[in-house]
Amino acid sequence: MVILIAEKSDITRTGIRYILHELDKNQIVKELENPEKFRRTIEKEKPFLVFASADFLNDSFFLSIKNSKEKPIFVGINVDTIALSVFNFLSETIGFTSTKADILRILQRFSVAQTKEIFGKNDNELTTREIDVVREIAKGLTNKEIADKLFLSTHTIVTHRKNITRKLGIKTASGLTVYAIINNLIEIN
Amino acid sequence: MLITRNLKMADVIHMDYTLLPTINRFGISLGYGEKTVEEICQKHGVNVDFFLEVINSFHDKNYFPEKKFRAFSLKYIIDYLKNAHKSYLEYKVPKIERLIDKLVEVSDLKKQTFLLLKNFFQEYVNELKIHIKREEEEVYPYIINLEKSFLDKKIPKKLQEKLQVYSIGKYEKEHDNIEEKLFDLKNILIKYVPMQKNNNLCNNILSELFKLEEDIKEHSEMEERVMIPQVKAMEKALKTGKFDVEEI
Ligand SMILES: [Fe+2]
Ligand SMILES: [Fe+2]
Repeated sequence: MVILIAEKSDITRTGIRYILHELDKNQIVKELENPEKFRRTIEKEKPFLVFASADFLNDSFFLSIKNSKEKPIFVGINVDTIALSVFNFLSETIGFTSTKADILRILQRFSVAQTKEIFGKNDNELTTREIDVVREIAKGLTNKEIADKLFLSTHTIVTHRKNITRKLGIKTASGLTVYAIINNLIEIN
Repeated sequence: MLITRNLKMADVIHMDYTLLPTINRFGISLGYGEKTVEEICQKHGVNVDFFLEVINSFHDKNYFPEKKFRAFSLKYIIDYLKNAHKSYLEYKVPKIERLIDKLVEVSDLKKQTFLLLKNFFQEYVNELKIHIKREEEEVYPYIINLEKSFLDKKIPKKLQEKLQVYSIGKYEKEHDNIEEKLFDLKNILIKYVPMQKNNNLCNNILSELFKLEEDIKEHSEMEERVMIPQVKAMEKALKTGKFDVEEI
C-alpha cells in the first residue's frame, strides 16, 4: 500500500515522509517533485493515498483520471487558494499548521474506509435476536441467564454482545439499559 | 511542534490554550508576563523537565515518552496524579453535572430520558470516586513508602512484611477502565437521544465529556505505563537487594 507525496518543496516532502514513517515505519512512501510526471507516477505506483500540493492539482489532471478504475484518495497540501472545482476532488487537506495527529487521523480515516469496502454494506442495524439480547441485558440478566432464557449457548450470547457493542458503540450494561429505555425496548419501573 | 523550556509561557497558551487546565495542575496560573516556561517553573518550584514532558504529551496526543517519564521521582508523578484527581472531582465532574441538571430542567418532553442520563452519569461518578479513593488511600501511600525505602536502600520491617502479601501487580490487575461509561454516554448522546431545541446545551455536555475522557485516558496511561513499571522495578530491587536499577 503505497503513499505518494507530490510536492515541489524538499522541506515539505521530507517533513511529511518523516511523520508517515514515525507513524508506521513500514509504510512505503514514494516522492515526486516534478508535476509533469504526476499522472504517470500514479499509474505506475498505484498509491492508495496521495498528498499533493497546488502545483500538481488542476482540472485537467482530474479530468484525465476521471475514468480510471483505481483512483487514489487525494489530500491537498497548502491548497488554500486553489480553485473550488479542484478542491472538490480532495478528500482532506493539510497545511503548515497541521500536526502529526492530523496526519494520523487522515490515515486512520482512510484505512478504515478501505476495510469497510471489503466487508460491504452497512450492517449496523441490530438484528431481532440482538434486540432480544439487549432487552435481557437491560433487565439486568447475566449472560448465563440470558442464554437459558433464549435457549442459546452462553458462547452465542457473548458473540451477540460483542456485535451489539460494535454496532451501538455502547460497552456497559447500564449504558445498554439507557439505550433500551430510550428506544422503548423495555418499560421503566 | 514540541514545547520547549525557552518558549514564552504566554506563547505556549497562544499555541494551544487547551493546555491551561493541565498547567494549572502544577499550581501555575495566568499572569505569565514575558517569562519563559523555565522561569515560570522555577518561580513555582516545579521541575521543568517533568512539566515539559507532561505538557507535550497533552499537546501532541501521539507523544508519550514513557522512558523519560520513568526517570522522574514517583513523588512528582503522584503529586501530579493527585492534582488531576482533584480537578476531576472538584471541577470537571461538577461542571458536567450542572450541565445535565440544566438539561433536565429546561426539557419538558424528554425529561424522562434526560433523567436517565443523569442517573447514568451519577453511577459513573460514584465509580470514579471509588477508583480515586482507593488510589489515594491505598496505592499511592504504598508507593511513596516504597520509593523512600528504595532510595534509602533499606527496608523497614513493616514494609518487608507488606511486600510478602502485597504487590503493585494486584492493583494493576484490578485497575479498570474508568472511561468506559463515558464512552457509552457520549454515544448515547450522539446517536440515540432525540433532540429538539437544546442543541447548545447538549453540545456543551458532549464536548466536556470528550475532554474528560481524553484527560482520564492520559491519566491512566501515566499510571499504567509509567508508575506501575517503575514500582515493579523497585519492588524487585527491594526484594532481591540489588539496587542498581539502570534499566526500568
Ligand atoms: Fe488515578
Ligand atoms: Fe487510575
